[in-house]
Amino acid sequence: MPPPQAGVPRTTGMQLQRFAGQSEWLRPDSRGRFSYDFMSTPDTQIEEVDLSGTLINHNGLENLVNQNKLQTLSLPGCPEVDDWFLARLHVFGESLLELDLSHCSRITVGGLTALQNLRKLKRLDISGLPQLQNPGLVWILLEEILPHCRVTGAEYEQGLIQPDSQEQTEDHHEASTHTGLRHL
Amino acid sequence: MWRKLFTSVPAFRALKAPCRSFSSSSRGAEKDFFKDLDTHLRAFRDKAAAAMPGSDWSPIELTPGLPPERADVVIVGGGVVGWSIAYWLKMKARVRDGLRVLVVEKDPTYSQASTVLSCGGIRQQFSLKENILLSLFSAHFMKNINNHLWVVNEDPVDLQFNHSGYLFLASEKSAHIMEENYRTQRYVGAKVALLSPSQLKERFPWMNTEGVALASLGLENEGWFDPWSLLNALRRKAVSMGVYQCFGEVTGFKCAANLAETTDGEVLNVQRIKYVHVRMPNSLEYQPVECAVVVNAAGANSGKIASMLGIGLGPKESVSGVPLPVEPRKRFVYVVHCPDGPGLDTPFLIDYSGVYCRREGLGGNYITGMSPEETEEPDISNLDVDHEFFQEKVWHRLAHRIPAFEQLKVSSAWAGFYDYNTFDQNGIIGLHPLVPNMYFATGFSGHGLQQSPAVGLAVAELILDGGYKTIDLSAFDLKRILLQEPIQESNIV
Repeated sequence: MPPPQAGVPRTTGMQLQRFAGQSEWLRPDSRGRFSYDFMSTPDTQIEEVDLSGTLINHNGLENLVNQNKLQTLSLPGCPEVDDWFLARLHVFGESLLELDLSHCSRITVGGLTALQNLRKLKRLDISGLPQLQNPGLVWILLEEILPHCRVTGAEYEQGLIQPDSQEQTEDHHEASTHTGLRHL
Repeated sequence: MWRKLFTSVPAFRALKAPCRSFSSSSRGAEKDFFKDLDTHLRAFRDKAAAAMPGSDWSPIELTPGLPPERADVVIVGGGVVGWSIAYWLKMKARVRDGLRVLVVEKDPTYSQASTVLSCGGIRQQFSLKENILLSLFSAHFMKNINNHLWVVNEDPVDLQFNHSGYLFLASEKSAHIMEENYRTQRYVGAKVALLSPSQLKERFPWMNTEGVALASLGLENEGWFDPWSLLNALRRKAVSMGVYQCFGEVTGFKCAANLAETTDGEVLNVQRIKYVHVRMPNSLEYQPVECAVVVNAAGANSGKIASMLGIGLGPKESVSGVPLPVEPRKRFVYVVHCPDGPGLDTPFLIDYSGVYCRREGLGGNYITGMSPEETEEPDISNLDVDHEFFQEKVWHRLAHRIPAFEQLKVSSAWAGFYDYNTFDQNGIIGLHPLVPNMYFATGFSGHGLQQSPAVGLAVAELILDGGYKTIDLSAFDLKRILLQEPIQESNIV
């Protein structure tokens, strides 16, 4: 597996973005071209950015860090979004309300803890993160540290060892639930 | 024509292995034969070259694990600093066998090595610009670690980095130092935020903010990681680039001595290292390794290595009477379990009383400890843990700051050595005037792990380029020890 290419942001531009005061999204048309209407209002801030499925990584965030009114960031299915990317999101601490991180395979708990800097966050989606051993526990812990946030994408039962599946060795199961909690 | 000639000779006929290729044409058979011949000739040539003097091969059966007889750079110490220097030397050399680097480590189990016993934290919240730059570079190195240290066909490196940041607490009398440091940190590029006590209380409701005047939280590039992963990643990459690894102890040096006269008329003995004696484990056998440059990255044992060259053993008033001020200092780390403790937002908390604490995993476990007073330094002959220290010194301070810790249980503890710089607690990098080919990279006093990638590059630049190219560490040069000019971190603790 080749190492990820860092340095050059892989996105050629914002896939989708919505400016403040407008309700329409700026997106490439059927021919893949953007309209240049936004150039007429150069000082508007971007409010929502949809980067689903792109190869954006922590270097690519350089393009976005000046947008201090950013409210929504959608990153479902971005394979290069990792813990260092999440650590860089602190610049949106005063404005970010929604964050969608579903199916970003590189994210671990070590990066999710950096989201404590997003104090205004209202919605967080952590579904489909394969590196979380215990999504149920992470869900509880995240809701504890982000006071106004509703975290979706993880159920309480996820990560718990189910008692029905191991009927024969009851004590072995007892021991394994304890270790399951410790090795997180 | 050639084929008929060679197949008539039985010896050459044997060379042609029975080939079951699809094209059994004569063209294919000829190619096989010449390729085989070429490989055999090449093997013969390599064997002949190995038999010549100047190569590593010797017909006598030697002890396994001996280092090569000759190396360009010998790095004493196989901790994270030593391997980082080896990696960067090979990276800068570019040519596959351009530079022969040997890393000598005395303990293959790393049982007492400071690297693996470390808490693994990294922060940019220092007061000296050089320290901040070193940590920042190291964080960027770890950010793109697989670009640097990935080896083909091996698993990608996973440092298990927790991005929780460091939180420093300052009392009334040290708040101004914290503000000063905050300005320096932001100027240099670290991402830090200052918090007032009320903001602190809102952010971390589990904390008791009594006595806190100001707090400083790292927002990015700060946290903790697994030191063993970093060490192994550096070692794996360096070995893949051709660095030799030897498990043995450096017991002495053989030097060529020259006399030099200082401006004061004092005559000094300048020693140029010619051979490093590496003794095999559990044996009296040693190998003298001929070398051009030696790097002292022996951590807590650097002082011992330096004294083998007579540094510090001369008359008190002369340059040779000043020893290398690095000695081992034992520090305890306690693992405690508290089910009601702070959650995922726990940073690496450092209180102004000196106690520190960080989360470990998600199961309510925490790692805590404290630096003892200067006068109460524990005994360094072993790594036994003093549990009384926790009960008497650490616990009440910890419970004062985080009330939930009044109920806790100590699950385990360990101890490790700092390579403590008794002079000014900052790294010592550079040459000693009395030993013109020994580079020092030691004395980091607890910060070696977090500064190791950057220090490795700095020393590699010193050796190969003659000066610093990336980060200017002239302030950490060894001569400040001889000139008695300390550079201190102005910390609140």
